[in-house]
Amino acid sequence: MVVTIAALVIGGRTVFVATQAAILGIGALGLALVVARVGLISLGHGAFFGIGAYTSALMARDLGTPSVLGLAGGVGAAMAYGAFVGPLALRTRGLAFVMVTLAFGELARVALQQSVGLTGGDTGLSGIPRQPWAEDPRVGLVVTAAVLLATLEGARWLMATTFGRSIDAARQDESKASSLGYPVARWRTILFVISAGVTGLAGALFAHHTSFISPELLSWLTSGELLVMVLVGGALSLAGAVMGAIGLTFAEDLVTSRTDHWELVLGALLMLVVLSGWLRRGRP
Amino acid sequence: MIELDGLSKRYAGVDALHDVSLRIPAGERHAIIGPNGAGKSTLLAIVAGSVRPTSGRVRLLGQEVTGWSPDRMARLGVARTAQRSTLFPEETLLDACLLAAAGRSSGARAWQRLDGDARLVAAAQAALESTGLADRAGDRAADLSHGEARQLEIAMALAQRPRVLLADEPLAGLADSERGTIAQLLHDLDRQMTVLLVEHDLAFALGIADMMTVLDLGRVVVSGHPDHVRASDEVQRLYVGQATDGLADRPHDGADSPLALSVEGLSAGYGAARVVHEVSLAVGEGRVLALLGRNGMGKTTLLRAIMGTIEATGGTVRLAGQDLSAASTTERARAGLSLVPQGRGILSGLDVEEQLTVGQGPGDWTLESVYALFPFLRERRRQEATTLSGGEQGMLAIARGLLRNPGVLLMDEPSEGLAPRVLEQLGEVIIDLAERGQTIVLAEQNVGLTLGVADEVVVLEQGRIVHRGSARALRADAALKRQLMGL
Repeated sequence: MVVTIAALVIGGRTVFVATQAAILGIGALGLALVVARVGLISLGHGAFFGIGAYTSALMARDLGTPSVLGLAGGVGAAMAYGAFVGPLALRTRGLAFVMVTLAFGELARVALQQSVGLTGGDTGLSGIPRQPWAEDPRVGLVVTAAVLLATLEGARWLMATTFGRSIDAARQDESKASSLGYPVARWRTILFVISAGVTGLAGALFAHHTSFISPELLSWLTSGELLVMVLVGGALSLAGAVMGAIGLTFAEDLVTSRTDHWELVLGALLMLVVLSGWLRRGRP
Repeated sequence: MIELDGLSKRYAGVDALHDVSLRIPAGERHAIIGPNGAGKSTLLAIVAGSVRPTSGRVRLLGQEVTGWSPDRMARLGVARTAQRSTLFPEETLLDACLLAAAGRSSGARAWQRLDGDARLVAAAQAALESTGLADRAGDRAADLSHGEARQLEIAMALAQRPRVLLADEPLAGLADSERGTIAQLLHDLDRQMTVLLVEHDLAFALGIADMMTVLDLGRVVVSGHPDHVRASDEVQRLYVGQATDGLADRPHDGADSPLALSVEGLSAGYGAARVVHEVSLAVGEGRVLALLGRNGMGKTTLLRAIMGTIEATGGTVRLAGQDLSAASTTERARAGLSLVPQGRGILSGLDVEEQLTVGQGPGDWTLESVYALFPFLRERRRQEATTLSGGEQGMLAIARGLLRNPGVLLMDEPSEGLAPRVLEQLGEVIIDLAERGQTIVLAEQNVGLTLGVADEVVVLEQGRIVHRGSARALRADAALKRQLMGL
């Protein structure tokens, strides 16, 4: 909220960056549902982000679908792919889960890259129309920030339900949770699909925000970026992931406007986060 | 109604269970007893759905449930307390019980707030109340002592309001006072509830069970009324010599042998809580020093502070004259300290031999001599260590500690969860080690075992030493013994 108001006051480029920060906040929030609550690291969320982006962009550009329907399409497509990947990936744990999600993510990227007729392949997709409410970027920011807050509240509600709390418990002791009567595998799959949908929503918003997207968006680099945001936020907190996304987006903008070495700064920051023991602290 | 029909289970070529058939009518309290490795836990795990039988069928509450998943069994109305406490460390006790209470109708409650149903909250609180944990409802499960964790395990099972309760050694690792509470709790359970209980403690099992089944080596030895079982020759044979008092009366030579380990003014704790207060003790080479005390009196903390796995807040630790007070755990291990932890610390994914050699150090103890001491380990050397029974894992942990060839072997409650016959073996092993000149510091709450094997005894209460003396003197003084153990 504070960031939004500040950005509105400053105006200009800051509004653009703040909107992007809010969008990535939604994306990181989606990933955090899996990382922080199931306790597994996914490198496939870049694909959900990209699928959401491409679906909404193509629907708007080629079909002229009303924008909200386009967003819904992006969410739906990401969830559909999540429903395909989730049950397979969730059979594994630890490193294997990382590799399976990575593989399915790259699979989606390559498939999209090859469908030149539909997606334009490597050249990417340009001329994606703005959302009608974003004609004035300041209104666009307010709407995006509202979507972020609503998503965060929704995620918090979800994790306070019996469904969410039992998934939390299963992260601590899977066999105990299932011996109490919780269908752990099925519910984790549902959460994974929801997580894919939230990240897909972020992707859909992103496409209209930048007006240009390329298959690179689906790559594991996007997953990695989202993951870093979740980690900086403390790895176990949903609000932390959002904060991490906002902080990193502004930091990146600040650093890249002065030097070319953003990755250097990011690396140092990551090391600080890991070494400071920030990740080891308990659930807030 | 529980019906087991010809159940068998094979692990890595070993028959854990062989053709077991049982009928337990609704409302019966049925105890499964037998020595370690008899297949009791396997039987319970099959009924709970967490282990699939190799062959045979399970019918429960009128349904064919063979091969059902544990969560489906729980929704049918089956609750299970595990032998080793598996809990949710980050959750408060109240939340853990709420999760337990909501699990049975998890489908209908999925999208409601977990704490949204007042009746459920009341049920969770009642479960904590009846297990004596009500005043700790807001604490995290990670902060519980071992005994309290077992109580929580039972509270969670009660919160499930089950029709069938599977209790896997509910008394294991509990101090005498806590045993009374839990035993009373199980005794007062709703008579409608069918209880299948696995237990080592014969007296407790005889007192609570309507019917009993004795297992040995995966087979039913005898099944019937407790009086019938008590009188059976087979049971007499299995449980022979369960009184561990006076295993051996070691001559008290070498009382003035050079000091192997000396501890002075050692204090330690967790966070702000100080658990061990200025404890001083010394043990001579080749001697067995026992730290006797009930649960939560600071035995484990003291051993950890000696080993350096937690930082002492004051005092010194010397090993053969060398000051280790500032040394890391690794340095202490290298200097000759080895800890056999409570719960055994068996690593998963390693077979028995890998487990043994993982921390092997140079010295008199070799793989061969350890195998000679524990022949069953040689037979099972290629078996994954976590598939051994609890008692066998205990022996494996001791063998692993020995292979480090430590100057001083620290043992933290090796008797936990052992059947009487295995307990006796454990006593013989400790005496055998002592006779070979191994210095041992043994933390125990089993008075019989301790007095049978120790040279000197130190009694801990609230983290302070309240008595020290020879085991022989304590053995002779029954009144002092009772007083020291809070009986």
